[in-house]
Amino acid sequence: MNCPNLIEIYAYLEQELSAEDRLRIEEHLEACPGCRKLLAGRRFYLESLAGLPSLEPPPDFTDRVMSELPPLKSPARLWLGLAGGLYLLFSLLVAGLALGTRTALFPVCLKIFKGLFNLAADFSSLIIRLIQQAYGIVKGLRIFLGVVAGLLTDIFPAGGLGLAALVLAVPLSLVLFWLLLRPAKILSRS
Amino acid sequence: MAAEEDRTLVRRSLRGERQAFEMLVRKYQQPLFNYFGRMVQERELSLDLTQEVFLRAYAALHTYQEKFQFSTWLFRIASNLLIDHWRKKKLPLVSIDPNPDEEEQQLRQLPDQEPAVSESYERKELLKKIEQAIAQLPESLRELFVLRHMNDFSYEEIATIKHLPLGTVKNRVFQAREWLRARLEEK
Repeated sequence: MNCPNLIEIYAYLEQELSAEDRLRIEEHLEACPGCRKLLAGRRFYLESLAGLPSLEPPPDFTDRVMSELPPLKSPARLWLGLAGGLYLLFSLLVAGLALGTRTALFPVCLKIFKGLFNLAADFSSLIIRLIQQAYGIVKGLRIFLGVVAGLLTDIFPAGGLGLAALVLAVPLSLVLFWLLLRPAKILSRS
Repeated sequence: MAAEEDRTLVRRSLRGERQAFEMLVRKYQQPLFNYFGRMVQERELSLDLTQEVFLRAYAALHTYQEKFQFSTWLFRIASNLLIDHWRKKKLPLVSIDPNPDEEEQQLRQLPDQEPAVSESYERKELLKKIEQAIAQLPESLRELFVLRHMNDFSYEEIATIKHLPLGTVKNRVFQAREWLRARLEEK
């Protein structure tokens, strides 16, 4: 066989060859003094490299490192990722607006901002209307109760107000009871 | 097994056991210092870089994936730190992208027969000459050479650390050895 090249010689010395290739080279070495010399030279060279002294850090090096350690970060949590994502989105929107009309991102960011603003405005007006409606009902009820209370005070003498309320409440309850039951009767008749 | 032991120490470190990380520091400070010492050739700078690797590793420990060996993950941080250092110093970075044609040609050009290094130097003298020659190796070759011969990483582990194809790593280490050997023969 032909003489092995240097890559094969190194691979042989580092035991990186397959058993078949290893055997092939060993057979060649037996018959080739030149390759044996080459192998011996490279073996000595590799052994010399392995004999290079190790560099040693000073004895207090571990303490030096440990005293400088930063705070340990825990694995990322889902909510942190979510918050980070929202913050990133917000930052991108703000950045898009801040960059002005020079970037293509501006109209998109502006559109999203407008949408968010309109949504918030509609929601706010709905809440305000509900409050106004509730306030109107409460106000109307208060006026009505005030009028009724005034009438009752005029009709009945002081101290008889409780009795008057009871007298009025009984027939009113009966009337309401009748009104509630009446449709059912009408339906049953038909 | 050493790799499994490292993973256990990382898990304990993540639970807040500083003693576990201290064990990792004790275990890897010498290999890292050896690596930087050979790469930058300055003791104090090597110590600073070694420390920085541990600080970066600790800060990013939660990102460590157990499918990798801790040693290769740590040396990847070291290698990136070294690249940053060279960039800051504005040293020219030699590309180590694989170029099979060029490599094959270089291999063919190497002489098959040459005088053995052992004939030229006594062992002690030889080690001194090798140290001097390592300092002159181009950075890209030197790094792979140091990882292989100073840190005893396998070719596969070096390929993982450097994100290079296995064949490229083998060829580059071979080139570094022969470059170094040629320098020894010159003197």
